[in-house]
Amino acid sequence: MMEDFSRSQLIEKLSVLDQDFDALEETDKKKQRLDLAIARCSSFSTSSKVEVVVAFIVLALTLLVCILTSQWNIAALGGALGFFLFLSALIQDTRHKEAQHAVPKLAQAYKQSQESSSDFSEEFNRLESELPSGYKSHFAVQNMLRALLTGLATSPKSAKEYQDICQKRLDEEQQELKYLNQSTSLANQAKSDYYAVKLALEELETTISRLKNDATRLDEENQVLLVHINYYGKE
Amino acid sequence: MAATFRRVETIDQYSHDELIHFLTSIIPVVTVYDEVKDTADSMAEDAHKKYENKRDSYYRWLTFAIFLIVVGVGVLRVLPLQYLWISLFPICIGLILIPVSLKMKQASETLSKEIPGMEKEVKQLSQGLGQMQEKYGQALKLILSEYRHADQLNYIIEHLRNSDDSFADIAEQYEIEKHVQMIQDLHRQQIEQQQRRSDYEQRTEKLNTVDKVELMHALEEWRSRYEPIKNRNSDLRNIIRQHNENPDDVLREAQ
Repeated sequence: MMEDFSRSQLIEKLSVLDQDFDALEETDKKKQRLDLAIARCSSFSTSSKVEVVVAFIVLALTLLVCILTSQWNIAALGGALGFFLFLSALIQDTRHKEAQHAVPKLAQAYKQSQESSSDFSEEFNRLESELPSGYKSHFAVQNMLRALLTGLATSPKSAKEYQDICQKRLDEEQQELKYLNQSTSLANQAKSDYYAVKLALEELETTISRLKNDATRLDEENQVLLVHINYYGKE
Repeated sequence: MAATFRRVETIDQYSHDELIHFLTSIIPVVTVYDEVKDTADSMAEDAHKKYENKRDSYYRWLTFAIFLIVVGVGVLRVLPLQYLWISLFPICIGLILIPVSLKMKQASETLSKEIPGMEKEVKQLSQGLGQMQEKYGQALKLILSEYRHADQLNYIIEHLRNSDDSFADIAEQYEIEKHVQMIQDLHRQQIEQQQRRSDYEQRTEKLNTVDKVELMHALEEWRSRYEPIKNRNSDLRNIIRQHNENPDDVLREAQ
Protein backbone atom coordinates (compact mmCIF):
# COMPACT_ATOMS: atom_id res chain seq x y z
CA MET A 1 0.00 0.00 0.00
CA MET A 2 0.98 3.62 -0.50
CA GLU A 3 1.88 4.19 3.15
CA ASP A 4 4.53 1.47 2.97
CA PHE A 5 6.61 3.23 0.32
CA SER A 6 9.65 5.35 0.95
CA ARG A 7 9.75 8.85 -0.52
CA SER A 8 11.93 7.83 -3.48
CA GLN A 9 9.81 4.75 -4.20
CA LEU A 10 6.66 6.84 -4.16
CA ILE A 11 8.25 9.46 -6.44
CA GLU A 12 9.22 6.69 -8.83
CA LYS A 13 5.73 5.19 -8.87
CA LEU A 14 3.91 8.52 -9.09
CA SER A 15 6.23 9.64 -11.94
CA VAL A 16 5.35 6.51 -13.88
CA LEU A 17 1.65 7.06 -13.20
CA ASP A 18 1.93 10.72 -14.23
CA GLN A 19 3.54 9.72 -17.54
CA ASP A 20 0.90 7.02 -18.04
CA PHE A 21 -1.87 9.55 -17.48
CA ASP A 22 -0.22 11.82 -20.05
CA ALA A 23 -0.01 8.91 -22.50
CA LEU A 24 -3.68 8.07 -21.92
CA GLU A 25 -4.65 11.69 -22.52
CA GLU A 26 -2.58 11.62 -25.72
CA THR A 27 -4.44 8.46 -26.81
CA ASP A 28 -7.75 10.21 -26.11
CA LYS A 29 -6.63 13.17 -28.21
CA LYS A 30 -5.70 10.84 -31.07
CA LYS A 31 -9.09 9.16 -30.82
CA GLN A 32 -10.83 12.54 -30.96
CA ARG A 33 -8.80 13.47 -34.05
CA LEU A 34 -9.74 10.17 -35.69
CA ASP A 35 -13.44 10.59 -34.81
CA LEU A 36 -13.36 14.11 -36.19
CA ALA A 37 -11.79 12.93 -39.47
CA ILE A 38 -14.37 10.13 -39.80
CA ALA A 39 -17.22 12.57 -39.06
CA ARG A 40 -15.81 14.96 -41.69
CA CYS A 41 -15.66 12.15 -44.24
CA SER A 42 -19.19 11.02 -43.59
CA SER A 43 -20.50 14.60 -43.68
CA PHE A 44 -19.01 15.11 -47.17
CA SER A 45 -20.36 11.78 -48.33
CA THR A 46 -23.87 12.58 -47.00
CA SER A 47 -23.83 16.06 -48.58
CA SER A 48 -22.81 14.56 -51.91
CA LYS A 49 -25.65 12.00 -51.82
CA VAL A 50 -28.23 14.57 -50.69
CA GLU A 51 -27.18 16.98 -53.45
CA VAL A 52 -27.55 14.27 -56.14
CA VAL A 53 -31.05 13.44 -54.88
CA VAL A 54 -32.02 17.14 -54.70
CA ALA A 55 -30.62 17.65 -58.22
CA PHE A 56 -32.85 14.86 -59.56
CA ILE A 57 -35.88 16.29 -57.74
CA VAL A 58 -35.16 19.80 -59.11
CA LEU A 59 -34.80 18.46 -62.65
CA ALA A 60 -37.96 16.35 -62.37
CA LEU A 61 -39.97 19.26 -60.94
CA THR A 62 -38.65 21.59 -63.64
CA LEU A 63 -39.71 19.11 -66.33
CA LEU A 64 -43.13 18.73 -64.73
CA VAL A 65 -43.69 22.49 -64.44
CA CYS A 66 -42.53 23.00 -68.03
CA ILE A 67 -44.90 20.32 -69.34
CA LEU A 68 -47.84 21.64 -67.31
CA THR A 69 -47.33 25.33 -68.09
CA SER A 70 -45.69 24.91 -71.53
CA GLN A 71 -43.20 27.62 -70.53
CA TRP A 72 -39.98 26.02 -71.61
CA ASN A 73 -37.79 29.00 -70.71
CA ILE A 74 -38.08 27.92 -67.03
CA ALA A 75 -36.24 24.74 -68.03
CA ALA A 76 -33.01 26.77 -68.36
CA LEU A 77 -33.19 27.93 -64.73
CA GLY A 78 -34.19 24.52 -63.34
CA GLY A 79 -31.58 22.82 -65.51
CA ALA A 80 -28.91 25.26 -64.34
CA LEU A 81 -29.79 24.65 -60.70
CA GLY A 82 -29.81 20.88 -61.20
CA PHE A 83 -26.50 21.06 -63.08
CA PHE A 84 -25.00 23.12 -60.25
CA LEU A 85 -26.20 20.59 -57.67
CA PHE A 86 -24.58 17.78 -59.67
CA LEU A 87 -21.29 19.70 -59.84
CA SER A 88 -21.50 20.49 -56.13
CA ALA A 89 -22.14 16.80 -55.38
CA LEU A 90 -19.06 15.98 -57.45
CA ILE A 91 -17.00 18.47 -55.44
CA GLN A 92 -18.29 17.04 -52.16
CA ASP A 93 -17.38 13.57 -53.41
CA THR A 94 -13.83 14.74 -54.20
CA ARG A 95 -13.59 16.25 -50.71
CA HIS A 96 -14.86 12.97 -49.26
CA LYS A 97 -12.14 11.04 -51.10
CA GLU A 98 -9.47 13.53 -50.00
CA ALA A 99 -10.64 13.45 -46.38
CA GLN A 100 -10.63 9.65 -46.51
CA HIS A 101 -6.88 9.68 -47.19
CA ALA A 102 -6.23 11.12 -43.74
CA VAL A 103 -8.27 8.45 -41.90
CA PRO A 104 -5.91 5.42 -42.17
CA LYS A 105 -2.95 7.51 -40.98
CA LEU A 106 -4.88 8.79 -37.97
CA ALA A 107 -6.28 5.31 -37.30
CA GLN A 108 -2.74 3.94 -37.37
CA ALA A 109 -1.51 6.61 -34.94
CA TYR A 110 -4.46 5.88 -32.63
CA LYS A 111 -3.87 2.13 -32.85
CA GLN A 112 -0.17 2.55 -32.00
CA SER A 113 -1.01 4.81 -29.10
CA GLN A 114 -3.67 2.38 -27.91
CA GLU A 115 -1.24 -0.54 -28.16
CA SER A 116 1.39 1.27 -26.13
CA SER A 117 -1.32 2.16 -23.59
CA SER A 118 -2.37 -1.45 -23.30
CA ASP A 119 1.30 -2.36 -22.81
CA PHE A 120 1.44 -0.33 -19.63
CA SER A 121 -2.23 -0.65 -18.66
CA GLU A 122 -1.55 -3.65 -16.40
CA GLU A 123 1.26 -1.80 -14.67
CA PHE A 124 -0.88 1.34 -14.57
CA ASN A 125 -3.79 -0.51 -12.94
CA ARG A 126 -1.47 -2.13 -10.43
CA LEU A 127 0.12 1.20 -9.49
CA GLU A 128 -3.26 2.89 -9.35
CA SER A 129 -4.63 0.15 -7.08
CA GLU A 130 -1.83 0.88 -4.65
CA LEU A 131 -3.18 4.39 -4.14
CA PRO A 132 -6.07 4.95 -1.73
CA SER A 133 -9.40 6.02 -3.21
CA GLY A 134 -9.63 9.77 -3.71
CA TYR A 135 -5.93 9.88 -4.60
CA LYS A 136 -6.07 8.04 -7.91
CA SER A 137 -6.82 10.93 -10.29
CA HIS A 138 -4.19 12.62 -12.46
CA PHE A 139 -4.71 15.80 -10.46
CA ALA A 140 -4.00 13.97 -7.17
CA VAL A 141 -0.98 12.18 -8.63
CA GLN A 142 0.49 15.46 -9.92
CA ASN A 143 -0.05 17.20 -6.58
CA MET A 144 1.50 14.42 -4.51
CA LEU A 145 4.37 14.18 -6.95
CA ARG A 146 4.96 17.92 -6.78
CA ALA A 147 4.96 17.84 -2.98
CA LEU A 148 7.38 14.93 -2.91
CA LEU A 149 9.67 16.34 -5.59
CA THR A 150 9.92 19.79 -4.06
CA GLY A 151 10.39 18.42 -0.56
CA LEU A 152 7.17 19.86 0.76
CA ALA A 153 6.18 16.32 1.61
CA THR A 154 8.70 13.75 2.71
CA SER A 155 6.39 10.85 3.45
CA PRO A 156 3.31 9.28 1.84
CA LYS A 157 1.21 10.65 4.71
CA SER A 158 2.34 14.25 4.17
CA ALA A 159 1.91 13.84 0.39
CA LYS A 160 -1.68 12.80 1.01
CA GLU A 161 -2.18 15.74 3.34
CA TYR A 162 -0.83 18.07 0.67
CA GLN A 163 -3.22 16.57 -1.87
CA ASP A 164 -6.07 17.22 0.61
CA ILE A 165 -5.06 20.89 0.73
CA CYS A 166 -4.94 21.03 -3.08
CA GLN A 167 -8.33 19.33 -3.26
CA LYS A 168 -9.74 21.93 -0.86
CA ARG A 169 -8.31 24.70 -3.04
CA LEU A 170 -9.83 23.10 -6.12
CA ASP A 171 -13.18 22.68 -4.36
CA GLU A 172 -13.07 26.33 -3.35
CA GLU A 173 -12.28 27.38 -6.93
CA GLN A 174 -15.09 25.20 -8.26
CA GLN A 175 -17.50 26.59 -5.68
CA GLU A 176 -16.59 30.13 -6.71
CA LEU A 177 -16.96 29.14 -10.35
CA LYS A 178 -20.41 27.77 -9.51
CA TYR A 179 -21.32 31.11 -7.86
CA LEU A 180 -20.01 32.92 -10.93
CA ASN A 181 -22.13 30.76 -13.22
CA GLN A 182 -25.16 31.42 -11.00
CA SER A 183 -24.46 35.18 -11.02
CA THR A 184 -24.03 35.12 -14.80
CA SER A 185 -27.26 33.21 -15.26
CA LEU A 186 -29.15 35.63 -12.95
CA ALA A 187 -27.65 38.60 -14.82
CA ASN A 188 -28.70 37.05 -18.12
CA GLN A 189 -32.19 36.49 -16.71
CA ALA A 190 -32.33 40.13 -15.57
CA LYS A 191 -31.22 41.17 -19.06
CA SER A 192 -33.91 39.11 -20.77
CA ASP A 193 -36.51 40.42 -18.28
CA TYR A 194 -35.46 43.96 -19.12
CA TYR A 195 -35.77 43.37 -22.86
CA ALA A 196 -39.14 41.62 -22.36
CA VAL A 197 -40.51 44.61 -20.42
CA LYS A 198 -38.97 46.99 -22.97
CA LEU A 199 -40.65 45.10 -25.79
CA ALA A 200 -44.00 45.16 -23.98
CA LEU A 201 -43.66 48.93 -23.51
CA GLU A 202 -42.70 49.38 -27.15
CA GLU A 203 -45.87 47.51 -28.10
CA LEU A 204 -47.78 49.83 -25.78
CA GLU A 205 -46.15 52.83 -27.49
CA THR A 206 -47.18 51.42 -30.87
CA THR A 207 -50.77 51.04 -29.64
CA ILE A 208 -50.80 54.63 -28.39
CA SER A 209 -49.32 55.90 -31.62
CA ARG A 210 -51.91 53.91 -33.61
CA LEU A 211 -54.70 55.35 -31.44
CA LYS A 212 -53.26 58.84 -31.94
CA ASN A 213 -53.14 58.42 -35.73
CA ASP A 214 -56.62 56.91 -35.85
CA ALA A 215 -58.02 59.72 -33.71
CA THR A 216 -56.37 62.37 -35.90
CA ARG A 217 -57.57 60.68 -39.09
CA LEU A 218 -61.12 60.28 -37.77
CA ASP A 219 -61.13 63.88 -36.57
CA GLU A 220 -60.13 65.05 -40.05
CA GLU A 221 -62.78 62.80 -41.56
CA ASN A 222 -65.35 64.24 -39.18
CA GLN A 223 -64.50 67.79 -40.34
CA VAL A 224 -65.00 66.81 -43.98
CA LEU A 225 -68.19 64.85 -43.27
CA LEU A 226 -69.55 67.73 -41.20
CA VAL A 227 -68.95 70.24 -44.02
CA HIS A 228 -70.72 67.86 -46.39
CA ILE A 229 -73.68 67.43 -43.99
CA ASN A 230 -73.95 71.21 -43.71
CA TYR A 231 -74.70 71.30 -47.45
CA TYR A 232 -77.79 69.13 -46.84
CA GLY A 233 -79.14 71.85 -44.53
CA LYS A 234 -78.47 74.56 -47.11
CA GLU A 235 -80.16 72.50 -49.83
CA MET B 1 24.54 23.36 -22.88
CA ALA B 2 27.30 22.20 -20.64
CA ALA B 3 25.24 22.18 -17.48
CA THR B 4 26.93 20.32 -14.62
CA PHE B 5 25.44 19.63 -11.24
CA ARG B 6 25.62 17.14 -8.42
CA ARG B 7 23.35 14.12 -8.84
CA VAL B 8 20.63 14.02 -6.21
CA GLU B 9 17.37 12.13 -5.79
CA THR B 10 15.24 15.10 -4.86
CA ILE B 11 15.73 18.81 -5.24
CA ASP B 12 15.69 19.51 -1.48
CA GLN B 13 18.96 17.61 -1.14
CA TYR B 14 20.74 20.61 -2.70
CA SER B 15 22.04 23.29 -0.40
CA HIS B 16 20.72 26.82 -0.92
CA ASP B 17 23.66 27.84 -3.13
CA GLU B 18 23.69 24.55 -4.98
CA LEU B 19 20.00 24.96 -5.68
CA ILE B 20 20.54 28.42 -7.17
CA HIS B 21 23.38 27.06 -9.29
CA PHE B 22 21.31 24.06 -10.36
CA LEU B 23 18.27 26.13 -11.34
CA THR B 24 20.38 28.72 -13.14
CA SER B 25 22.16 25.99 -15.12
CA ILE B 26 19.02 24.06 -15.89
CA ILE B 27 17.06 27.03 -17.31
CA PRO B 28 18.57 26.78 -20.85
CA VAL B 29 18.00 23.01 -20.79
CA VAL B 30 14.34 23.16 -19.71
CA THR B 31 13.64 26.08 -22.01
CA VAL B 32 14.99 24.25 -25.02
CA TYR B 33 13.42 20.96 -23.89
CA ASP B 34 9.94 22.46 -23.47
CA GLU B 35 10.13 24.59 -26.58
CA VAL B 36 11.16 21.57 -28.63
CA LYS B 37 8.46 19.44 -27.00
CA ASP B 38 5.76 22.05 -27.66
CA THR B 39 6.97 22.57 -31.22
CA ALA B 40 7.06 18.83 -31.89
CA ASP B 41 3.54 18.45 -30.49
CA SER B 42 1.97 21.26 -32.42
CA MET B 43 3.99 21.57 -35.64
CA ALA B 44 2.52 18.68 -37.65
CA GLU B 45 -0.99 19.29 -36.31
CA ASP B 46 -0.84 22.99 -37.18
CA ALA B 47 0.42 22.20 -40.67
CA HIS B 48 -2.48 19.76 -41.19
CA LYS B 49 -4.99 22.30 -39.91
CA LYS B 50 -3.60 25.03 -42.16
CA TYR B 51 -3.75 22.69 -45.15
CA GLU B 52 -7.34 21.65 -44.36
CA ASN B 53 -8.46 25.27 -43.93
CA LYS B 54 -6.90 26.29 -47.26
CA ARG B 55 -8.41 23.26 -48.98
CA ASP B 56 -11.86 24.01 -47.46
CA SER B 57 -11.63 27.61 -48.67
CA TYR B 58 -10.68 26.43 -52.15
CA TYR B 59 -13.69 24.12 -52.40
CA ARG B 60 -16.05 26.69 -50.85
CA TRP B 61 -15.03 29.44 -53.29
CA LEU B 62 -15.04 27.07 -56.25
CA THR B 63 -18.57 25.91 -55.40
CA PHE B 64 -19.69 29.51 -55.02
CA ALA B 65 -18.08 30.50 -58.34
CA ILE B 66 -19.78 27.58 -60.13
CA PHE B 67 -23.10 28.51 -58.52
CA LEU B 68 -22.83 32.11 -59.74
CA ILE B 69 -21.83 31.12 -63.28
CA VAL B 70 -24.42 28.36 -63.68
CA VAL B 71 -27.28 30.37 -62.19
CA GLY B 72 -26.21 33.41 -64.28
CA VAL B 73 -26.38 31.28 -67.43
CA GLY B 74 -29.74 29.85 -66.34
CA VAL B 75 -31.18 33.32 -65.73
CA LEU B 76 -29.88 34.44 -69.14
CA ARG B 77 -32.52 32.29 -70.85
CA VAL B 78 -35.36 33.40 -68.57
CA LEU B 79 -34.97 37.20 -68.45
CA PRO B 80 -35.61 39.50 -71.40
CA LEU B 81 -32.60 41.02 -73.19
CA GLN B 82 -32.84 44.42 -71.49
CA TYR B 83 -32.07 42.68 -68.17
CA LEU B 84 -28.97 40.99 -69.57
CA TRP B 85 -26.79 42.67 -66.94
CA ILE B 86 -28.62 40.78 -64.16
CA SER B 87 -27.24 37.49 -65.45
CA LEU B 88 -23.89 38.89 -66.65
CA PHE B 89 -23.11 40.29 -63.22
CA PRO B 90 -23.00 36.93 -61.34
CA ILE B 91 -21.25 35.30 -64.30
CA CYS B 92 -18.46 37.91 -64.14
CA ILE B 93 -18.14 37.56 -60.35
CA GLY B 94 -18.05 33.77 -60.74
CA LEU B 95 -15.34 34.02 -63.41
CA ILE B 96 -13.27 36.25 -61.14
CA LEU B 97 -13.69 33.82 -58.24
CA ILE B 98 -12.36 30.84 -60.21
CA PRO B 99 -8.71 32.05 -60.32
CA VAL B 100 -9.08 33.09 -56.66
CA SER B 101 -10.10 29.56 -55.70
CA LEU B 102 -7.35 28.08 -57.90
CA LYS B 103 -4.85 30.25 -56.07
CA MET B 104 -6.10 28.74 -52.81
CA LYS B 105 -5.77 25.27 -54.29
CA GLN B 106 -2.16 26.06 -55.21
CA ALA B 107 -1.49 27.32 -51.68
CA SER B 108 -3.04 24.20 -50.14
CA GLU B 109 -0.92 21.98 -52.41
CA THR B 110 2.21 23.85 -51.39
CA LEU B 111 1.25 23.32 -47.76
CA SER B 112 0.56 19.63 -48.37
CA LYS B 113 4.05 19.24 -49.88
CA GLU B 114 5.51 20.76 -46.74
CA ILE B 115 3.80 18.24 -44.44
CA PRO B 116 6.13 15.21 -45.03
CA GLY B 117 9.16 17.45 -44.46
CA MET B 118 7.57 18.75 -41.31
CA GLU B 119 6.80 15.23 -40.10
CA LYS B 120 10.45 14.34 -40.70
CA GLU B 121 11.45 17.41 -38.72
CA VAL B 122 9.09 16.39 -35.90
CA LYS B 123 10.71 12.95 -35.89
CA GLN B 124 14.15 14.56 -35.63
CA LEU B 125 12.92 16.79 -32.84
CA SER B 126 11.56 13.76 -31.00
CA GLN B 127 14.94 12.06 -31.38
CA GLY B 128 16.60 15.21 -30.06
CA LEU B 129 14.20 15.19 -27.14
CA GLY B 130 15.09 11.55 -26.47
CA GLN B 131 18.79 12.47 -26.42
CA MET B 132 18.14 15.37 -24.07
CA GLN B 133 16.06 13.09 -21.88
CA GLU B 134 18.98 10.67 -21.79
CA LYS B 135 21.51 13.35 -20.94
CA TYR B 136 19.47 15.51 -18.57
CA GLY B 137 16.73 13.03 -17.62
CA GLN B 138 17.82 12.88 -14.00
CA ALA B 139 17.94 16.67 -13.68
CA LEU B 140 14.64 17.15 -15.52
CA LYS B 141 12.97 14.66 -13.21
CA LEU B 142 13.79 16.89 -10.25
CA ILE B 143 11.50 19.63 -11.51
CA LEU B 144 7.88 18.94 -12.30
CA SER B 145 6.95 19.81 -15.90
CA GLU B 146 4.64 22.65 -14.79
CA TYR B 147 7.65 24.50 -13.31
CA ARG B 148 9.86 23.97 -16.33
CA HIS B 149 9.55 27.47 -17.73
CA ALA B 150 12.26 30.08 -17.75
CA ASP B 151 10.10 32.84 -16.25
CA GLN B 152 8.89 30.57 -13.45
CA LEU B 153 12.36 29.32 -12.65
CA ASN B 154 13.70 32.87 -12.75
CA TYR B 155 10.96 33.83 -10.27
CA ILE B 156 12.08 31.01 -7.97
CA ILE B 157 15.79 31.92 -8.34
CA GLU B 158 14.99 35.55 -7.56
CA HIS B 159 13.18 34.50 -4.38
CA LEU B 160 15.99 32.12 -3.43
CA ARG B 161 18.54 34.91 -3.78
CA ASN B 162 16.48 37.27 -1.65
CA SER B 163 15.46 34.87 1.12
CA ASP B 164 16.34 31.68 2.93
CA ASP B 165 13.19 29.96 1.69
CA SER B 166 13.52 26.52 0.18
CA PHE B 167 12.40 25.51 -3.31
CA ALA B 168 9.35 23.85 -1.68
CA ASP B 169 8.37 27.03 0.17
CA ILE B 170 8.65 29.15 -2.94
CA ALA B 171 6.83 26.61 -5.11
CA GLU B 172 4.06 26.43 -2.53
CA GLN B 173 3.99 30.21 -2.29
CA TYR B 174 3.60 30.28 -6.07
CA GLU B 175 0.72 27.74 -5.83
CA ILE B 176 -1.00 29.82 -3.15
CA GLU B 177 -0.57 33.00 -5.18
CA LYS B 178 -2.01 31.21 -8.22
CA HIS B 179 -4.99 30.04 -6.16
CA VAL B 180 -5.54 33.45 -4.57
CA GLN B 181 -5.28 35.10 -7.96
CA MET B 182 -7.86 32.73 -9.38
CA ILE B 183 -10.26 33.27 -6.48
CA GLN B 184 -9.81 37.04 -6.82
CA ASP B 185 -10.49 36.85 -10.56
CA LEU B 186 -13.62 34.79 -9.92
CA HIS B 187 -14.77 37.26 -7.24
CA ARG B 188 -14.16 40.17 -9.59
CA GLN B 189 -16.17 38.44 -12.31
CA GLN B 190 -18.94 37.65 -9.81
CA ILE B 191 -19.11 41.31 -8.80
CA GLU B 192 -19.22 42.32 -12.47
CA GLN B 193 -22.12 39.95 -13.06
CA GLN B 194 -23.93 41.13 -9.90
CA GLN B 195 -23.40 44.71 -11.05
CA ARG B 196 -24.75 43.82 -14.49
CA ARG B 197 -27.75 42.15 -12.89
CA SER B 198 -28.51 45.08 -10.61
CA ASP B 199 -28.03 47.48 -13.53
CA TYR B 200 -30.63 45.60 -15.59
CA GLU B 201 -32.94 45.28 -12.59
CA GLN B 202 -32.78 49.03 -12.01
CA ARG B 203 -33.50 49.70 -15.66
CA THR B 204 -36.41 47.22 -15.56
CA GLU B 205 -37.68 48.85 -12.39
CA LYS B 206 -37.61 52.25 -14.09
CA LEU B 207 -39.48 50.83 -17.09
CA ASN B 208 -42.03 49.16 -14.81
CA THR B 209 -42.65 52.23 -12.69
CA VAL B 210 -41.91 55.53 -14.47
CA ASP B 211 -42.16 54.60 -18.17
CA LYS B 212 -45.01 52.13 -17.83
CA VAL B 213 -47.10 54.51 -15.69
CA GLU B 214 -46.54 57.34 -18.16
CA LEU B 215 -47.46 55.14 -21.09
CA MET B 216 -50.56 53.72 -19.36
CA HIS B 217 -51.63 57.25 -18.58
CA ALA B 218 -51.12 58.29 -22.20
CA LEU B 219 -53.00 55.19 -23.37
CA GLU B 220 -55.97 55.96 -21.15
CA GLU B 221 -55.96 59.57 -22.29
CA TRP B 222 -55.93 58.66 -25.98
CA ARG B 223 -58.53 55.94 -25.48
CA SER B 224 -60.84 58.49 -23.83
CA ARG B 225 -60.20 60.92 -26.70
CA TYR B 226 -60.56 58.31 -29.41
CA GLU B 227 -63.91 56.84 -28.34
CA PRO B 228 -66.04 60.07 -28.74
CA ILE B 229 -64.31 60.89 -32.06
CA LYS B 230 -65.06 57.38 -33.29
CA ASN B 231 -68.69 57.56 -32.15
CA ARG B 232 -69.08 60.96 -33.79
CA ASN B 233 -67.58 59.57 -36.99
CA SER B 234 -70.11 56.70 -37.09
CA ASP B 235 -72.96 59.16 -36.38
CA LEU B 236 -71.84 61.44 -39.23
CA ARG B 237 -71.45 58.46 -41.57
CA ASN B 238 -74.99 57.32 -40.67
CA ILE B 239 -76.39 60.78 -41.48
CA ILE B 240 -74.68 60.68 -44.89
CA ARG B 241 -75.94 57.14 -45.52
CA GLN B 242 -79.46 58.36 -44.65
CA HIS B 243 -79.06 60.78 -47.57
CA ASN B 244 -78.29 57.81 -49.82
CA GLU B 245 -74.64 58.67 -50.14
CA ASN B 246 -71.53 56.64 -49.41
CA PRO B 247 -69.39 58.40 -46.76
CA ASP B 248 -66.23 56.88 -48.23
CA ASP B 249 -67.06 58.38 -51.63
CA VAL B 250 -67.64 61.73 -49.95
CA LEU B 251 -64.27 61.57 -48.31
CA ARG B 252 -62.56 60.47 -51.53
CA GLU B 253 -64.12 63.39 -53.42
CA ALA B 254 -63.05 65.83 -50.78
CA GLN B 255 -59.40 64.81 -51.05
